[in-house]
Amino acid sequence: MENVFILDPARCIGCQACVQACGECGTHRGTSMIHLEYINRAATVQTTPQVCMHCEEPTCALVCPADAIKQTPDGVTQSSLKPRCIGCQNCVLACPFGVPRYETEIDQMMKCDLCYDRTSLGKRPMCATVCPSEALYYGPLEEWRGRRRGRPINVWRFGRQTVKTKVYMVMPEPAQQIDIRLHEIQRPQRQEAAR
Amino acid sequence: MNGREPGLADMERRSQTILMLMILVLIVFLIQLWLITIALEDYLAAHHTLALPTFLASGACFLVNLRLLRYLFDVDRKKEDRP
Amino acid sequence: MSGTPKWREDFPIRWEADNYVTRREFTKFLVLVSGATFVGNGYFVLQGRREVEAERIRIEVARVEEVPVGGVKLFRYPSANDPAILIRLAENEWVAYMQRCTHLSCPVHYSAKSGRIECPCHNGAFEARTGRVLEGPPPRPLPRIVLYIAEGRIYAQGVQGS
Repeated sequence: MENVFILDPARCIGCQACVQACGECGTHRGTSMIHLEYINRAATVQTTPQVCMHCEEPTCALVCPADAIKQTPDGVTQSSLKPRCIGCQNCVLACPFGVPRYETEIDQMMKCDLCYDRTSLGKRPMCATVCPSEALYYGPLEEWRGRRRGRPINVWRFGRQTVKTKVYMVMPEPAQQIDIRLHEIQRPQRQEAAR
Repeated sequence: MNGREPGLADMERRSQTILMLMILVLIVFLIQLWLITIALEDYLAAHHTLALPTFLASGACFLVNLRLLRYLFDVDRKKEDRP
Repeated sequence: MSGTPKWREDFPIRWEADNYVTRREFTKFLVLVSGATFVGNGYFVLQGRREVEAERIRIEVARVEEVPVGGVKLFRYPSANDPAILIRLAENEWVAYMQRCTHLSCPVHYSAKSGRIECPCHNGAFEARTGRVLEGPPPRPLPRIVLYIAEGRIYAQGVQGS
């Protein structure tokens, strides 16, 4: 059975365990690829984790001028290839979720790759392994459906562009997709719930 | 995830086909290398009998390679026909 | 996929497509090298033809009284670029070989004392009578030149590979 990654922002308690666990990994030398976002710091301390959404048609890869971002057959978008990345930050601008980060010390883009060195062997990514509240879940979809509430969706609309991702986000029923209407956003990190 | 699969299966099949083609071309090329080695050895020993047969055999090998190359182009062209 | 521009087809994002492109390019290159090898093989055909033509010419090497027993005469056969050595092994025993050592083309010398043709570069040695390798690094026997003796003159016609 195929494993899916499901992100439930309502369950995030802001403990930063995922950030610490990701940062411990030797493959990216101590820089954490996951971070927490405050959804509305003025009103609440609620946070949500931000991982790479691993889109089916990854915008970052499509706009990379150096052909440095590749995607595996199972749909995981890799971080940039060291010999090719020129540090132009096209992907940083292009990603609708704001995932890629440009690291000035190494002049290269780095981003979450779903711990591909672990997931390709059937293990869970570091963040999903340590999350105490299971806001980050990696496993069979049916198992999640068996004990959790909410609907995981992976279709996003950004204006006229529809993006389908490998990572699911949990929305209350009966949402079908997540519609981001940027012109209506007045405060940072506020998302409109889908229809 | 299902929308990706037809495209993926097609790509994997094509990748395997190309791998087989590459191996075949490589084997034929190695035969050609062997033929030219024979020709060289004989030339150095002042025999002049084997140069022409090896040349013709090498030509046959090259024609086989050309046919395989044509097949490679066909694999690419089949992609374009698909809607 | 039909709407994909050519540059996107040449630089695909997915791993399996990327592998496909790399293998396809390598295979094309292999066919090119295969063609070059075929052409290279033709070089030996041409050179062989040219040498066979040159070998049809009979040239006079020496007169019998020019060379003492155990002596040698250097000459050029089949072309001006090919040094050769004529050896009088005995009163009526003549042999001639190409002088290039089959190892790395050093000129070889006859030693009457040992009855061998020796190469000073790497201590190779050939039997004077047959040209076969006796010791050292040479991989092949010395190519032998066919001699004709008529009316007190020695002629060379043809190179005989052993």
